This record gives sequence, C-alpha cells and structure tokens, in this order.
Amino acid sequence: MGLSDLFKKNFELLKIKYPAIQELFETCPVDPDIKIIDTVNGSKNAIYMDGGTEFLIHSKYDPEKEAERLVSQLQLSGISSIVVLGFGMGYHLKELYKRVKEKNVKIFVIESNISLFKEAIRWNDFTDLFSYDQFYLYLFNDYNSVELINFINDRIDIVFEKMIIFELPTVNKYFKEELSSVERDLIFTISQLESNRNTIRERGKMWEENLLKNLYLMLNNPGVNDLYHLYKDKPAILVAAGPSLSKNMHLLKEVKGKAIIIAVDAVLKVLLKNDIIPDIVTALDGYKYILKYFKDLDYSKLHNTVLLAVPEFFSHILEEWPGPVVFSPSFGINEEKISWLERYRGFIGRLATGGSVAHLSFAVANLMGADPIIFIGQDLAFTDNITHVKGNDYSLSIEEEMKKKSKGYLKVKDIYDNEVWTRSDFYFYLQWFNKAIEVLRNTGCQRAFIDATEGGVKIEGTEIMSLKKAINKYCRDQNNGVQEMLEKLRSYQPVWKPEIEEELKAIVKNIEKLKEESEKGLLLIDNLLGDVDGEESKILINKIGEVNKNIIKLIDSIIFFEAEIYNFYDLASTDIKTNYEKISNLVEFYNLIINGSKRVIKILNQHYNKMLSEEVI
Amino acid sequence: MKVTIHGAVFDMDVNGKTIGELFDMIEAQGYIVYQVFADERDITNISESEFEKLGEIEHLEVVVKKLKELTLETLSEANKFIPEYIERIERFLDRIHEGTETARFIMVEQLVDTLKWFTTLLENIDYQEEDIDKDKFFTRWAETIENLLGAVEIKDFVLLADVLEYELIPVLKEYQRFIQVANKKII
Repeated sequence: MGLSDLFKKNFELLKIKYPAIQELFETCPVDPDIKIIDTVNGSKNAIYMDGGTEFLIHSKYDPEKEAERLVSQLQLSGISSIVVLGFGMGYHLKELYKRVKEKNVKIFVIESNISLFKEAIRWNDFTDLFSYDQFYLYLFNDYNSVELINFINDRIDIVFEKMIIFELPTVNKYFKEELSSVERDLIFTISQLESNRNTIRERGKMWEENLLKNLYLMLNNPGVNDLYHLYKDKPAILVAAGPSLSKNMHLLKEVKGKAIIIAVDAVLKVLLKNDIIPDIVTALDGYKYILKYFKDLDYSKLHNTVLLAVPEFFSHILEEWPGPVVFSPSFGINEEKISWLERYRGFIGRLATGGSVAHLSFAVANLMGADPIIFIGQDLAFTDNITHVKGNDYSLSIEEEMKKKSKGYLKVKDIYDNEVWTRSDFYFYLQWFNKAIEVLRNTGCQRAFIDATEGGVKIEGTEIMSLKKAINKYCRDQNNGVQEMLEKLRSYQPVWKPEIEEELKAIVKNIEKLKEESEKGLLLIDNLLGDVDGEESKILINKIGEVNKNIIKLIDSIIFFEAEIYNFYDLASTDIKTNYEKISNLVEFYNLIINGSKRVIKILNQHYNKMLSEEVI
Repeated sequence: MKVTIHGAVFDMDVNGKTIGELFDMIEAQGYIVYQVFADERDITNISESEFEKLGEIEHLEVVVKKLKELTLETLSEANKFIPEYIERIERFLDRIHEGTETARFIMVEQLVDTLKWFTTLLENIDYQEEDIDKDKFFTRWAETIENLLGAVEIKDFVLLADVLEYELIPVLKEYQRFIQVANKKII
C-alpha cells in the first residue's frame, strides 16, 4: 500500500469520528522541528528538535519492542480507561490496543503536536485502533482546560470509571509548558472520580432510595433550570458555615431585599438563631448526617425561602418544607434515572459541583446571573482553630476534629499570609473553586467574585474585601428579584406526559421478572452444587446461561436500584480466575437483584398509585 | 614500627622508611600493594586526612601481589560479574520508565559506577603481544560510555534505554570475550 493510501485510510476513519479534524489538519502549520527517520529495524521514527538538542520520540533500534516494554509496565487489572499523553508515532498505542481491546477499555489519547500526529498516520497503520469503539482522540493547538475535562467527563462513568494516566516517555520533550496543565487537569479529574466513588460507595444506597421516593415530587416541582437568570446583575451573598462567619454574619440583616442570600444547609440553624432568613438554602447531600441541620427547625420562618436540593435529598424534609422546593441534579449522579424522568417532565437542569454544598450555592448564583458573587463563611480552613462557625452545635475544636475524623490535615496560608490548618477535602473544595472561577473567566465571564469571609484560605480569582465594604459597594439598592423568583416558583405548573404511568407500570413488571429470574438462578446454582453428574451439570449451566441472558435483557430496569449492586461492579472489574469465584459472584449478583427489586417495587407502586389519582395535564 | 610483608619475601631494609618510600620499594620489585593493615585495622582505602589521624602505628602489615597475579584475579572476577551485570541492566530496562526521575537516575549512577571499574580494568590490561582488535574494541567501549553519559546528561530515557540495550549489553558481551582472551594471553 502506498504511503498516501495509508494516510488516507487512517484519515478517513478518523473523520467519521471527528469531522473537525479536517480543518485542524488544514490549518496546522508544518512543524520544522520534526524530522522522520528510519529505525534500525526498518520502522519509522520521529526526531524532535528542542532548542538545538535532538530527541528521538521512540527507540532508534526497535520502537515496537520498546512499546511492548512500556505497555507491559502498566497495571491494567480492573482499569476501565487509560488516558495516554502523547500519540507520538503511535507504537505504544498499537500495543496498548492489542492488550486492552478484548476488555473494552477506553483509550483516550491527548496530543499537542498535530504535525507529529500527521506523520504518525502517514507512516503507520492505525485502522484497527481508529475503528475501536472505545478510542477517543483529543488533538489540540491551543490547550483549553475546560475542553479537555469535558472531553473526558462526557465519555466516562463519573462514579465507576477506573482511570490511569500513561505518558509516552518523550512527551515532556515536545508537549512543552502545556504538559503540566494537562497533567494537573487529569489528576484533578481522577481525584474527582475517586471522591465521587468514595461518596457513592458510602452513601449510594441512601441517595438512591431518597431519589426513588422523590420521583413524584420531581414531576411536580420546578428544576434549577427555572432559576436561569432570575437574579441577573444583582448581588448574591453566599453563606457558608466556616468559623469566620461569626465575624460578619450580623451584617446580613442589612442586605435583605438588596442582595439574594444563598445559604448552605449547615448554616441554616445559626442564621435563624440570629434572625437572618436566607432566600435560598442549598442541600447537596441526602445522607443521614445532614438530618441534624433540619431537625427542630422553625419552619414558620421559611415560607419565603427556597430549598434548592439534589434529587437524592430526604423526601420527608422536601415534603415538610414550607417554601418552594427546586430540584438541582448534579452532573452524572443518577443520570440514567433523572434522564428517564425528564423524558416525561422536561429538562430539570444540571449544576456542576465538586462535592461541597457551597459549590452548589456558587453554581446556582452563577446560573441566576448574579453579579457580584460575594462569599462569606467560606474559610475552607480551621480559622481560629475551630471547624465551623461558633453557635453551631457541630462546631469542633481542631483537636476534637482530628481525634474524631480520619481525614488528612495540612497547613496552608490564609488570606493574611498566616499558616492555618485545613482538611484534605476542604483543600480539594478550594481547588474546585479555583478551577471553576478560572474556567468562568476563560469563557468570558466578567462578573466580580468577592471573598468577604474575612479569614480562611484565598480563593484564586476573588477580590478580598470586608463584608461591610462589599455591602457598601454593591448592596445599596433595594430590588425585587427575590420576590419575582418566589412568584415564578409558586406559580410553577407541572407538565408531564401521561405515558409515564404506563412506563412505570412496565418497569415494575420488568423488575418483578428480574426478581423471578434471579430466584430461578439461585435455585439452579443450588442444584449445580448438589450431587449432579457431568451431563446434568452441563444442562444446569446452560439453564443458568439462559437466566443470565434474560436478566441482561431486563438490565435497563436495574437503574432504579443500581446502588444495590455497586459492590458487584468491583467484583466484575477484577479478573475472575476460578469457577468457584464465578459461582460465588453469580450468587451474590442474584441476591443483590432480589433485594433491590423488593425495595424498589414497593416505592414505584406508591408513585404509580399517586399518579393515577392525579389529573394529568 | 614493625613492618610485615605478606605475599612475597623481600631482601630490603625497611627501617626508618616512610610508608610512601616503602610502597615505592615494593613496586620497584614488580609487586603491587594489595592491602594494608595498621595495627590490624584495614587502611587500604582510607583518605590522606584519615591516615594522618591514625597517629603512631606499631605494626604495619602489607599484602602484596604480583601485577600479573592481581590482573588475573581481577579479570576472573570481571568475567564472572559481567553476566550478573547484564541481568541487572535488563531488570532496570524493564522498569526504566517507572518511578520518579530521581530514583531512576540513582539506578543509572550505580550502573555507571560499575562501568568505571570496568574501564579502569581495561586500561590496566597490558599485552605482551600485539592484538589487532584491541584498538577497535577500546574505541567502541569508549563510544558506548560516552553515549551513555550523553543520554544521562540530557535526561533522555529513551536514548538511555537504547544505549543500554543495543550498545552496552553487546559491548559488555564483547568485553567478556576480550578479557577471556586477555586472560589466556597473560597466563
């Protein structure tokens, strides 16, 4: 095959997946620093010229053997995706593809040198790799953090993905200064995955149960999308529960009607105790420790306060809440269930958060178009050696905190350049804020971000100011934005398609079938483990195979009790070695389905009955 | 100071001689000082400043060897060590892109230190008769070491792996053949 034919063949395949590549190729100038040479074994290699020093991208003797060695050093067991930094001439990718194609592992490739990439596809055949369903290519001229993070996040399971980074050893020679940004963003993505996974593991079942119980409420209440630009160009004050809040919280009384006060759930009791009524309360976590923030609340003060909560929040609190309730799903969490519901009630909206409820406050303030956004109580550190604002019954001294919790602690600089203790998760939340503000700025956002915490760590991209000064500067005029928001939310008319009733009925039926099949499977395994001869065991194994096929056909219905089988994801991601392990896994799988089914059928039937008693619009 | 010489019998007056003068006399007899003990303490490899701190020595023992004997011993040691050294390089190659750069360079430094020993040995092999391959091999050896140090200097692990696998390992095998021939010739 001629060289141009090879290029064409590779290129045509790529164009199917990435139509924009044509323009990228056409506009990319030839890189004079790249030269192609023959290796000793007759393959092609690229030489990269770096300020007078020549570097070979791969081995000058045998790049294929080098690739084998490189890939064999990777720990691939249980991995579901690999981000490869550097396409180079692609030898390592051909080898990697060979090793992972059967396991359907995702291969993300990031390459900054388009000229080099063009040479690679001119000289080597990548048709197998490019045809692989799980191959994703990110080529760039000018690096864009947001684009890369989204490129990866859009293609992974944000909870269960197990991702590693694989760097072509010479990538540091030709990626230049972008490499550290790319690495930083990938490490951020991986730590976010880790954090999601830990949270979901711990809280998944409870979240899922809450969400299931909220299905009917979600049909009938507004979504965060309905808040879009409802407070445009007016100031928002985001109240978090950091220790510094006691320094300036009293000033909030002055701003009622002049700025929207968005408070996290953890601070609600303290605010009410001080006669400050927030306009919006945000709740991100439907886990049991949150309940204390809502226990014995004086609900009579909250008629004009919106509760903005994730769909995984406690249904009994949502039902009791006297003000409007707005649902705000997080990106990627319970996505299948929420998307399913949205097919019948319309898009609810999504807000990106990094694990902290304060991120939800920040995201909604941005969505509402508020400007400026003023942070208070956002220490993200143990200012004055305490964990939360004084007067809060869960505020601890740093010693108590360290004794009670097994988190990582570190010292960082506060806004006054003094050292202050913080916790590893707070530090991660800070990084999220830093990145979020950077991303907003990079996408042309002009709004002012004011850190009026008067303590704690510095959030990059914010202007530090006392709350007094921020109020004098930005919150002088009364406005009726909050009133308009309340009116809009109170007059919300739910619209949902009647087909959902039939769909729900069918899902319940499918889940019942799933349960029956799993019970059948357990029985067959019981028989298999009994005294059976070769022929009988063959028949039983075939029957188990049939059961599994039937379960797979119905697997879509599992979305409603996915958390029940989280542990199974772990089992499934490791290599099963023996028949005994296979059988144990199957028994566990069937039991998980049976337990999940029982729990879900009951809740879904309740929703179904409620729907039947409602007038459909 | 009492002086005992092991490994050879010399007919010479050592009284009133400094240690330096003593060693010169030994070498003039065609012997090499192999080990030195001062009052039973091995001081063969101590520095000049450490030596000065020793104070007065009551009993100095010097182990000497004939140059030929020492060369043969060292060649035999090198001959046995080369296969193990090659294995060590291969193990390093299998992990060459793992771990921190600093850790990898520490490994490389250890490999280079051993190479220095091989080079010193090579420089000290002296033939009684002409060997036509000797110059060619010496040049190849020197080039390989230079390429290796060049790769280390520019921190190029791809190049380093190439030099180790495709240049150093073959040249070490050649080195082994070379010292085997040299051994025979010296004998």
